[in-house]
Amino acid sequence: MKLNSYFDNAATSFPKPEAVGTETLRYLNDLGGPYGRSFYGRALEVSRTVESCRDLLSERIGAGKPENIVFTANATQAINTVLRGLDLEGGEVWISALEHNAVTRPLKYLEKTNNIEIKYLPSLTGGAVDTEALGRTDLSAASLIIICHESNVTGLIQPVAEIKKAAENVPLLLDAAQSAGGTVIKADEWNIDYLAFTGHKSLLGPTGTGGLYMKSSDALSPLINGGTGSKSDSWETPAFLPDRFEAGTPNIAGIFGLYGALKNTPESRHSKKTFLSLLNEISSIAGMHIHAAPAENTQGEVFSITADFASPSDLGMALYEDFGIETRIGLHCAPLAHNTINTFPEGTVRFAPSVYHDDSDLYRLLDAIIKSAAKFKD
Amino acid sequence: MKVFIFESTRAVIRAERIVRDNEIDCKIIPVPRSISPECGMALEITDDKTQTVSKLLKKISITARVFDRDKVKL
Repeated sequence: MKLNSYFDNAATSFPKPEAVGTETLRYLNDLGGPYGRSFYGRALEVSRTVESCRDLLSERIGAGKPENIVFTANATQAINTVLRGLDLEGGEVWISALEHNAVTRPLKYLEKTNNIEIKYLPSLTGGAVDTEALGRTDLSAASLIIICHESNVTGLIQPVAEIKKAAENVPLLLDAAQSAGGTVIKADEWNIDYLAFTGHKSLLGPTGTGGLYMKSSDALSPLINGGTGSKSDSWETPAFLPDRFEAGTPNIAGIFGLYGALKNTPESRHSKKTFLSLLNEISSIAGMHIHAAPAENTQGEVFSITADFASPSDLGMALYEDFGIETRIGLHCAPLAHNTINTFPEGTVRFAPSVYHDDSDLYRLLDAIIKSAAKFKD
Repeated sequence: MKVFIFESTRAVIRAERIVRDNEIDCKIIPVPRSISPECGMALEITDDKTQTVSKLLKKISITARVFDRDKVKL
């Protein structure tokens, strides 16, 4: 059987469930029509599907109120909605040591324009938040805490529930771009205030889909204002959810595709045991370094490698040219995370399998890495 | 006949779903211009089901405004 050579699912997942294409085309070719805004059958069917997608998302992230999920173009837009929508003027924003540029760049912007102060949560080796030390940290001036739920470099899954407990009443924004769909999320149980996700990674939907869950939207102003098909006689965007944060026609075709993915999510074709043994085998290759979570129970299905005998670019190129293996090389839009794991500025070679990889794909990946290492050492 | 109108598209869809799940006939009509400037959907329900539908909507925390169909203009 042909190797599933695509190991860049942390960038965007491929393949998708067949229903993603089927549902997208059902909208584009057969159904069409708006979300809300009119009364005919086409508009009704479109609106039903969009709302069913919202319902399925709420189940997937453990949020009891689906209307508190609003669709966005991606996780970055969802994160920006929170960072630009809260009044953070002059306040402290505390972040983990593994944040993505989707968080750090808007914060750096707000540092200049709104005089915010970026502070770093106490962390353990590898970047996990040190929840014990956090309990002793003075957060009295903190306006917001931001946590990258699953590192897009090492796959480390942060102890979100413990962080929220330790941080008591400070609002928490969870960046679930990498984790949503691949890792259990219990937004309400963990008392998460804001949760940003994308549809095209582990949720297996199309690009251009994502969303923001808000436990409460009271403190947030919308990023954009405009038509919603509701309260049309008012000059103001409606105050109720989800309309308040969904001005303009949404990405209906994309939402149909995401609905198809959520209704047809396959079971993983490989076992967690095989994935973890792959990591162990790679770490035993002389001169090769694995960058992963420190414990199996905090490991998501993303990891990186570096080697003493080859640069990330050389190694990634060799894996592609000799074996067709597709990876992502460099900083993965997460220079802060690479600083934390001491791989800045060269970066790493990153591997992110998906549910479509079977055990034999992972064994063949290991074989390719072993052979590439041997070639460089010769 | 009664006309039920709602504040959002999501509310209409949830209302329509619970009404149909309970095997009550309903029709989607435009929001009557004489009662609201909304451009979306409203539910038309027979008089005898009005109370049942109101109870169902209350159960799922949906607020609706209800009007006599023959007293409003589309």
